[in-house]
Amino acid sequence: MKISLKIFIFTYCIMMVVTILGGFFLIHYEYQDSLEQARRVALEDNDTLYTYVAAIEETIGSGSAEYSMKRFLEQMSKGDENNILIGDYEEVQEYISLNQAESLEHGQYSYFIIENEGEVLIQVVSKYYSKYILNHYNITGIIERRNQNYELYRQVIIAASVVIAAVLYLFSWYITRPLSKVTKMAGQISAGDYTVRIDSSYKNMKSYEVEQLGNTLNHLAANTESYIEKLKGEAQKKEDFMGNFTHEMKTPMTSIIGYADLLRTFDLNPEQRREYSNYIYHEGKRVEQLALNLLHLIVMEKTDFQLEHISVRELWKQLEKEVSFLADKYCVNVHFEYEEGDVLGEKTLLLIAIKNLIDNACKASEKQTDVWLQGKRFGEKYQILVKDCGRGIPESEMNHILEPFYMVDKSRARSQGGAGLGLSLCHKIIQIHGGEMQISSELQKGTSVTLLLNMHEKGGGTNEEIPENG
Amino acid sequence: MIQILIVEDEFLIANLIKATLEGQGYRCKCIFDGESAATEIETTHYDLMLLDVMLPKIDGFELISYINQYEIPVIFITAKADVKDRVKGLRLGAEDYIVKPFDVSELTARVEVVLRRYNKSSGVIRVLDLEIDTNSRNVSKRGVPVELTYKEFELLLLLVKNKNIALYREIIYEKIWKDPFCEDTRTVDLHIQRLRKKLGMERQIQTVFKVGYRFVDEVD
Repeated sequence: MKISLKIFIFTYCIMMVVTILGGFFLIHYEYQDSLEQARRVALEDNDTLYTYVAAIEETIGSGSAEYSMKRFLEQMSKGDENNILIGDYEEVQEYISLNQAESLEHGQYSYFIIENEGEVLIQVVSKYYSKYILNHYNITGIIERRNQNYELYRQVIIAASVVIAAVLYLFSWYITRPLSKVTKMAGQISAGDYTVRIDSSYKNMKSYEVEQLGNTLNHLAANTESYIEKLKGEAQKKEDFMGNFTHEMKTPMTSIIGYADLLRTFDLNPEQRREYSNYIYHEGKRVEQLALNLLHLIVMEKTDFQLEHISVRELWKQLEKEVSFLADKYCVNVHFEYEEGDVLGEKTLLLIAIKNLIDNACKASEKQTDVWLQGKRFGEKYQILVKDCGRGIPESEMNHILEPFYMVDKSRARSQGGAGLGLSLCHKIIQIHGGEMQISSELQKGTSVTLLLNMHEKGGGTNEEIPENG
Repeated sequence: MIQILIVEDEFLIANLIKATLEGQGYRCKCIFDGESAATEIETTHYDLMLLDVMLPKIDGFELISYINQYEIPVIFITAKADVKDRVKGLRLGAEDYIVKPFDVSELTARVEVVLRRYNKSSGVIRVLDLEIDTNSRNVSKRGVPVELTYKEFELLLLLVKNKNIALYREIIYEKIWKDPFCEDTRTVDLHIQRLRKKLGMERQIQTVFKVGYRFVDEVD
């Protein structure tokens, strides 16, 4: 049942009951009051009559009292003899029953309400020895007024009930209207439209509670909307990643399977055999590299690393050992320069990151040019710089280079065995270290990548928990 | 001779397709980006085009609308396996859609189907005095029909298509019987013997020691 209907019915019933009962009670009370007054007047009249009758009987005597009595009665009844009646039982017996007459003693009185020829009267009877004193008081007017009042009031109530119903209905609709607005919005939300909002200014919402409800729903919708957006974004990213991954995986797989099929199907000449096995070997290497990089990325998502202090000197020594073959392979001069210091990091990961950067630098460089790996203190941080004088990255591509599988020059990257994972791997590693990575580049002039890492303070704390990466 | 243009930015894959198709007797040229491909078809006539979707400069989906005016049938070769990509490719007017990684035999089969559809290849292979109709699966020698079983026909087709190249016994078995090769089976040898007898080609279908068999069209 609608809340507005509930409010309406409940209030309407209470109001109608109160109005009807109250009105009838008032009319009844007024009637009772008038009746009481009439009774009192009738009794007083009777009392007066009684006193007179007593006085007359005592002073004049019963024999000669008749005349005086008659005159007195004429005076009292002001011409209407029926109103007052004084006499023996025989004289009054048409007005009172024997029962009533016999139950009265001398000096007592009683009264009855009687109906006579369409009129309602209060009849008071008192007894003075053998004489009955009767008087009447007409209350027809009182009863008629009461009945008129009832009738009038009934009409008033009928009119009022219509007016009250109309007013109440409007009122309950008006009060619950914001609620139905809120309900409508909640319905839209549950149907999946999270963009709806309620205008919940006080004036519009009429009552504090509904305003609060509206605000809460707005919050709910906003939160859910942003959450869903986030999920959508993540799903899109994942989809892109999978799309890129399958492409990067399928291309070498096609070559490997294809050339292997040629080799095993046909009895080829030695030259072709060598060529095809060479392709298979290199493509296999590419798949291996891709798998390794992916593994690194996945491991980094899942594992908590312990950062420890690493001496830059050792790091550089190891890098020189592992990177020297790159210099020969691409015919570039790699320079290793550093300032003494300890950085806070995970050695294996840092090696992977820096090796990747040097690898990128070498690949971007022309033969016989220079590549620098520099390390120096930078305030409280340690700065690692990998710089080349190679072909650089176009400005339009800068936004994308951190995305997994993004390659500025796909065919060149592929021919050099890349899959576009290096920089995103580095970025992830530096994030894990709570450091920063900046890339600046100029076409045909070269690229420099700067890493900022936290230094290990001498005598400071030992190992530190790695901040959760987002 | 049928001319096929291969547009594929991966050198290795382009080369693989070229090697495979040239083995089947087609003449192929490899182009590595969309722009050069557009220029190439303006100057030279091609019967079929194998087109990668993800290409540098102009991608395959863009290129095909340009190619359509030359009425060259196109087969897409791509790593994009999504149904919506396939549908898009076919809607744009491609004849077929091959998803990487593909089997080279699948590639050649699809190329044949498209060429036959365009009547570029009659489906009849003539070699020496043999006439092999790949549509009706009839073989005749000097005009006289030769009855071959299903497997024998497939075997002959495989040998003839790769004529003058030695084929390994195991692979012959795998490709025709679609089962992994089992060491001591003599099935291939038995079928070869029956084929030689039926066609009277004891010298043309040669046994290659330790390898398998080879069909030669020039016997010395």
